[in-house]
Amino acid sequence: MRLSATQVAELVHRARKGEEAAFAELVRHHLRAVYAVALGVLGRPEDAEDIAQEAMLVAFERLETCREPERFSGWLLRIGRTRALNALASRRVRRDAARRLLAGARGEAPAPGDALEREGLLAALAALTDTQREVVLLHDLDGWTHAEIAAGLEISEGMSRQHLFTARKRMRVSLAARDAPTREADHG
Amino acid sequence: MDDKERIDFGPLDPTRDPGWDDRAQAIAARAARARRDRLEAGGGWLALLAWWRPALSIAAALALVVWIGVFVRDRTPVQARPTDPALTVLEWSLSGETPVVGELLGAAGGDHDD
Repeated sequence: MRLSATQVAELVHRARKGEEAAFAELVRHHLRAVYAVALGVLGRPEDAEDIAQEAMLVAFERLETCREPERFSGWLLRIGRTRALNALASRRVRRDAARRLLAGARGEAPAPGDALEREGLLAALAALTDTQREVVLLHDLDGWTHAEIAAGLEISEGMSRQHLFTARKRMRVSLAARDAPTREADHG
Repeated sequence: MDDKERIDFGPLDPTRDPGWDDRAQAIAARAARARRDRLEAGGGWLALLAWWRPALSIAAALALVVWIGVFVRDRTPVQARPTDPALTVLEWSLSGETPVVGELLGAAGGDHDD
């Protein structure tokens, strides 16, 4: 269940008083959205996850500076986007071979089929514009409505629909082109 | 229509990771702990930080109201005040009022600072 702007504002007020349950709810309802935005910028799920967690903590530290708690979601996404862009610009984010090895040793590596799908999706996402990526990820991955996307990204609902339509269309073309050689190989 | 057209981002969905909920919980716990520490250490400053913008806005609005009041008073047309000495004296005599020296001088057209 998604939260209304009023409910989010209420959680922000409670979080400001140090209520852990309020923080937990805010994290539960927003962490994946921040991850989606960071993924749109960075194109690497592991890095996006790190940035999302970092952005969440930074936002909570600066909770006083969120002047409109009803618009907490958009404010948080901006923090996530800025941090992801900073990470990208400073080349702080790199594939960490040691971490991957460690993850593999712990059995956290994705299944081969999943890995292929992930690569396909990431390649298809890479072909989109920044806004298209954010819109399609927020909508299709995190379930945001166009009204929420419009408020969060400060665009109109019409633009949100347009970006989603174009993003899906382009992604389908990319994914189909990627699948074609595999199918041909299977049949040949 | 939206649901049918939806791209399946399942393989990129971090919530499929069994450790996701624990990480989310850890973030909330850490943030709450930091917040409580800050509240205990400097609640007054936090309140000040939270209210300085509204307080500044209110102060600016009050200053504007005072300024407009002064401006309007200074711009009040001279005709609005009883300046005719004869009328002023007539008013005093009809009301049985005894004017003070300043008022007498004012009615006569002079300035007097109390």
